[in-house]
Amino acid sequence: MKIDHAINTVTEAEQDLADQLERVAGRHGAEHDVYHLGHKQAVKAAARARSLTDFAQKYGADAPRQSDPDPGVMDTLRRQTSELLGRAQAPGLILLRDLQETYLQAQRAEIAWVVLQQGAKACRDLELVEAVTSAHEECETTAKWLRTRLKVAAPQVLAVG
Amino acid sequence: MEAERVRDVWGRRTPHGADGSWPSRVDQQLLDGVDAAMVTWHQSACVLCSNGCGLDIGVVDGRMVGVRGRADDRVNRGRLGPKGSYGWQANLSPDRLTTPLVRREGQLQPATWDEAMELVVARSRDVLNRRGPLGMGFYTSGQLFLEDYYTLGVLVRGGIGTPHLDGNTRLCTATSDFALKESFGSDGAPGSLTDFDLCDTIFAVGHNIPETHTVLWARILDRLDGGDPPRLVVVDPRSTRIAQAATVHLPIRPGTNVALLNGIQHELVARGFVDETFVQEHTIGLERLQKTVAEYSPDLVSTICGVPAADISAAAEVLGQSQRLVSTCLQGVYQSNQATAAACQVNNITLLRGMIGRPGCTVFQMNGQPTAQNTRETGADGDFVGMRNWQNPDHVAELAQLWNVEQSQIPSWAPPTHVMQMFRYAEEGSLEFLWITATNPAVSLPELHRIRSILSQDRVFVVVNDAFPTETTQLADVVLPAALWGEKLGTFTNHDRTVHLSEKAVEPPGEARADLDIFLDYAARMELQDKDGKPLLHWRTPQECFDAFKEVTRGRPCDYSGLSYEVLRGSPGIQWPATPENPSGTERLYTDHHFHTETDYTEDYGHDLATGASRERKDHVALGADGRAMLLAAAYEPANEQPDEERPLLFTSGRTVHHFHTRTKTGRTPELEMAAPEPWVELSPADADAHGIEEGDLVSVESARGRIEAPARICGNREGVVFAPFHYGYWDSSASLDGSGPGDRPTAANELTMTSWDPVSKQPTLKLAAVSIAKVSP
Repeated sequence: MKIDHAINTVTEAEQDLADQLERVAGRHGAEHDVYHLGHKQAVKAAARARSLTDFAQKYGADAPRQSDPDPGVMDTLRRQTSELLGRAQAPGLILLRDLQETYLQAQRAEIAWVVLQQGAKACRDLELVEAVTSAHEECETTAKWLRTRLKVAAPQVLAVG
Repeated sequence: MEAERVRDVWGRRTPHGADGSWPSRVDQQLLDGVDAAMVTWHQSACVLCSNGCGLDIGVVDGRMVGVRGRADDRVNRGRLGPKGSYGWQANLSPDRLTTPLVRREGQLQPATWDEAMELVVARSRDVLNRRGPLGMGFYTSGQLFLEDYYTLGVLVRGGIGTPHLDGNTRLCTATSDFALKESFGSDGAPGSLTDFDLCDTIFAVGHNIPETHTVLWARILDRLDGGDPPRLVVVDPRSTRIAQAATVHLPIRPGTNVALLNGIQHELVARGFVDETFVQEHTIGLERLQKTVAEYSPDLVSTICGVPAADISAAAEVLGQSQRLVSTCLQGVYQSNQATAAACQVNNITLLRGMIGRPGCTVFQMNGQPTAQNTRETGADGDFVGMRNWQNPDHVAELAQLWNVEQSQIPSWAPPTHVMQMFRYAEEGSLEFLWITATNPAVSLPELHRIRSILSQDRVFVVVNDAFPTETTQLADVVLPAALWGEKLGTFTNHDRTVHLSEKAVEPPGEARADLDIFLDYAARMELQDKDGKPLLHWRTPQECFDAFKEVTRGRPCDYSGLSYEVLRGSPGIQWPATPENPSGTERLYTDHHFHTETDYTEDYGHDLATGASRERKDHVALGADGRAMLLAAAYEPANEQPDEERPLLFTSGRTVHHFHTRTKTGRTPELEMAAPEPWVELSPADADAHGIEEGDLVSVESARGRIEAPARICGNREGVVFAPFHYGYWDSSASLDGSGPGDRPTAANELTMTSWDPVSKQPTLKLAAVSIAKVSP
């Protein structure tokens, strides 16, 4: 049984997603919705990783990080920089790049959940199946939010002369 | 000065039981010394709140001299509130803008219409050439007429081809619109105002009816004073008059609506108050909803919301026992944390109880402004014309055919841009042209120092249509004088889908013009054409425009095809949908409990309530709603800003009965201005004590973004909550340098508010900010 591998893949992907959301939210502080929702989604991604704590122990996988991503000093600095640059258009392309990268990371996490779910089903671990199902759905929502936000952001950045 | 309706806001009672026979009571207000026999009367309706009370405008010798309620009107049966009785006098104000103004060497100076319009056109062409259509933005109102909005909508979406068109309805009823779309598949109030005459229970969430909708409150008072009065459940952190009349009042901590409503649903489910048959046959989503609300026990909710668990259960008991329930929401939901999610929970309660589509049973996602409904129907805000779905290519194709433009011309790659995003584009420099009509963002948007600085940039060309100088016109490059209500012909629709005709009773002052005419002039000068090279806007009069609009609504939820100026003239107001087969309109939607949720018909595929992630067509198909309403679950999430050591109190803003919006009209109405001349700050006795503040002391309220000052009123609000009305800007402030900003006396509540909005409706969170307070030394 190699469920521990699948758990580790999910945990890493969600923790990386949390960190990435945290950085991107701060870097685009002048985009107020990205800032607020980015932080909230970062906290949720970290919580999803943590939701596997008991299963990690059961299957001998690595223990997920127990802390929330901490906005801390770096966030304040990033947000202040973003607001100073708030009157410039160049960050538009950076916003697109960041949202795309984060979307890909969310997809990485999403497919990791799918893999784990398949394993859990085959091992008849119904508790794990249930935990994975709700987390997977929430992870998909994070990806959909990033997709929605990208679809709104892209035209203005790309089409304005 | 006789100001009866200011002293007695709701007027004489005409009590009745739950029999639907609301008596008429005709209110009339004429200028002193006017001989009533000389007055000619012109049909209209009031434009100072979304009730839209039917009235006639009195005229003598071409001058407006008064108003009189229309006894047979279905909305008010003759009654007028204080704003309706007196507010029309703003039309007579010597402050009216009567000539175009153009900024020359930093100063706004009079110009001819030709000069002003040529400048607007030259800048438009320049921005279109350099930046393209996405460099252009348009921000309109909830105060114009259907014909003004529709003309603007076609001009912007079909002509200019930019998605950047929104209305100030975004601040007012975007959440109403989105909550209705999410739960029922389309915009449009399900019920009728007559449901208030018939119900046995009213559930008011964040809706201070006595002050925001005075004639509706008079209607409810007539029930409360009659036989078999309805019971009231009221959610409001303030001890408002409706809260005082409630059977159960829940003064929750601001920002916790979803937790409370989940708690109430928890109780409805746990105690067997769910209409199982209705839910089974006519809704989807019960299982998920039950799973979510199961976690919200009254005890847990009590700790989140700061109200006793027993009161939460008592509220559920009253709602659960109701046989005819009318629920209603307003800004305490829409401008607060998790706006759409909370509004949808009120829809859920309606559905769980099966209280829809029957007499005395409905939910009102109420409007604020008189013509907000039309902004939504005409697609002059975040919606598509005729309640079409921007994500549905068939809907866009239909529109392209009706407008005779290429389908690709109509921006439908993303939802119409919301105003906060538009201001962000103006801030970062990709939007260089902004045309604002009949709204005052320099007072009404959040974080005002930011808004003023965006509008003041040289690189953004700002055009403003208004009837008066405002804080926003003071920052404009071109100001165009607009005709007001009573000075132009048109129609508008209130919050229970009642359409009224408003006659042109008098000529506009000076060179002021109807917005419709201004847009037609612009379109002609811009040579906006359809794909056959004919003028895109093929109408010249309001009536021709109305007839064109009727065609785009045919077969859609807001079907106007059976209406005409002839049918509306003399009518008591007609509720859409009104078709040629059914020209007298429709009192209630969903009487067959079939909702607008078929994938091909729906106005919106919906969103994730927590993030605003859009559902795409395949997601909507997968839901399989197919005519059933949606029960939508949402977990409570704390607001983006929480009190802390430095700013330990929660600020919330709101309205007062005598003023509307930023006082552009009501501040120029003697009776109303005298009734509420100054801003104030409401504090609870405990908070006042803790800061050594006494009644009338000047208090400073400070958030991370700004500060206001006003005298203290110490009253029975929830401890930890600070309230100020949001009406008081600077156009008449002696401290202001140019009437655009505060000088050394900031009073506008939105100096304090944060740049933050609901993820689904994009309505700014104007009712929540962490603040500190201090007494200002005399």
